[in-house]
Amino acid sequence: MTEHEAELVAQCRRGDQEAFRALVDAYHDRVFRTAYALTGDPHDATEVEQDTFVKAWRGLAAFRGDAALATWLTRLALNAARDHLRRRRARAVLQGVLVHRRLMALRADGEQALQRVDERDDLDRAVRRLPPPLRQTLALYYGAELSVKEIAETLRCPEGTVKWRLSTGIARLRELLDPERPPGRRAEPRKAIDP
Amino acid sequence: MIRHERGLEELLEARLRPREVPPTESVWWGVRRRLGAHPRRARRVLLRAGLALAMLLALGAGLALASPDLRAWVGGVAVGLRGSSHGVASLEPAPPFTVLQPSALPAGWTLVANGYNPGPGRSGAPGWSGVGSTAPSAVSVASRVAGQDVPPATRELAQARAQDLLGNGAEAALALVYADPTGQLIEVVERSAAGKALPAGRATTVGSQPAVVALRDGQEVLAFVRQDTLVEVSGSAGRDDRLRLAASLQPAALAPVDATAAGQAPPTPPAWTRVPLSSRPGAQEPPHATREAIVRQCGWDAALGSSALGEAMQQVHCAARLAAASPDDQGAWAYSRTSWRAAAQQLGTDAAGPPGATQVYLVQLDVSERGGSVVVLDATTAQPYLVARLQPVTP
Repeated sequence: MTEHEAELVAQCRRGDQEAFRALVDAYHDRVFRTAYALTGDPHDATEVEQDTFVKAWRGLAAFRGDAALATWLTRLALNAARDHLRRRRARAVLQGVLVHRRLMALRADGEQALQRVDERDDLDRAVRRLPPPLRQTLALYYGAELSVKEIAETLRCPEGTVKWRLSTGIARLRELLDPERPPGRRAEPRKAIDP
Repeated sequence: MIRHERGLEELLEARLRPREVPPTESVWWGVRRRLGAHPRRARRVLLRAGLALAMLLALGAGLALASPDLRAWVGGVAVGLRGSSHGVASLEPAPPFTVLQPSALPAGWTLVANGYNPGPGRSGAPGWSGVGSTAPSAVSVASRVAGQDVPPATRELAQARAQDLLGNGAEAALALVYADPTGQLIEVVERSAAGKALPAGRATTVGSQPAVVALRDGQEVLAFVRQDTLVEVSGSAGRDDRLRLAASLQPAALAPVDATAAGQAPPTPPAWTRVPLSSRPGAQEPPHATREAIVRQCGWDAALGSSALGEAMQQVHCAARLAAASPDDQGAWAYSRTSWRAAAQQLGTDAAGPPGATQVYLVQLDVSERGGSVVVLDATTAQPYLVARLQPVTP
């Protein structure tokens, strides 16, 4: 935590909302991207981000600074997204969303858009079938654009575990999306994994 | 089926990354509303002493107490807390678990806030339905301990933590918040252990007893069972201090609330009253603020009650003060959620109002035996229905 952040945290602990606004400014982008990567919807992401910062405001009293502020906020966002998704997991709602997406896509620009929506829905379904640790790791890496080191700190696991989850997650997704594809050597993420 | 002319990783990036990130202002607006309706008032309101779930008493910052005593009687429900900087001495009604308190505190540590929720169905007042809760609870905080003022920041944080630790009122709970001179906190929550298992986490011991260190919202929580009580210890203090305090927790014998310990002066002025509102009728007034003005200044989200109790309480407090034209009150306040019919009965009034089953908030401002006022407003729309001044209690 930088000196400036430590001062802001101290001011927040004294109830200074302007100081908290400065923290929200600083971490809005990261928290929103994390929330979006985990929920896949801008409205849900906004709600999750608000939940995250409200929890942060209340939790700053107990924040000891053992982890970086960014890491702590990302963990709060993960928890907030998990709670949010649990609340809205009703199948009927999900089906309604899928149908709505198709209708909107058809209205927008016809067949090509519908194909994109189908791809996205296939991908969404496949991602949802991944075990939570793989899903979270993929979301943080490909969605929130965190480094392997940052993900390891956030999820409290070794960097090697993060790399394993990334390669395994991609391989599982390929299997889920194309079950006829012959199983082969586990695919490595094409993207360079920088620490 | 995914078309493989587009790489899977590109698809993932396209799916998992937002097309655009909204401006901070749009998020901040929602966050600020949930932190407190009015930015200049937010700090005061957020940190006002003594929040509760169905019935709430707040000991204002101007009320310097030597010990965090609290007792209230609002509309037929009584909850009592009596204690000192050494610990809780009395709880009313009695909790359904053994109360544990530290036999020795780490050097420099004192009890600065405590909160008690007796749980649903224990108030003896059927029909009371609080904000997401069926039971009243109370939180109190000491502003002066052992001859020393508790720093406002520590006091405010301790209050807020005690309020959060009590949870949603679904079960009886006792929250104890200790602080050291640097403002670090140790938080202890006690509940009945019946039918509960320790949370998942790393196994450890407290004393020689099995315990678990679990992570909750990124914070370590030490959980263990002693006698019939499930104990959770957390806070910003170092692990050694938390462990030391946890290891010293012992069963404590509590006295009836009315029993005043030898040499302990009763709170002055009285921070509690046991006189029902219906015996204190005063002049009724038209509300001093319209619903529109209340919504504009306080914000109003009727759904908050089921998801964010603290925020719902801030809304209700803000709305009641506007409706009653109450200045920046420094006194205690209390509220409950009930029907208009029940509220009118409790106030002993036949004033015109909405249909009897309409859910309302019955809010008492400046809870004391010297006066104060009562506001009734719609729990869904914030429409104020009634403002009445209370007569002082005559001996």
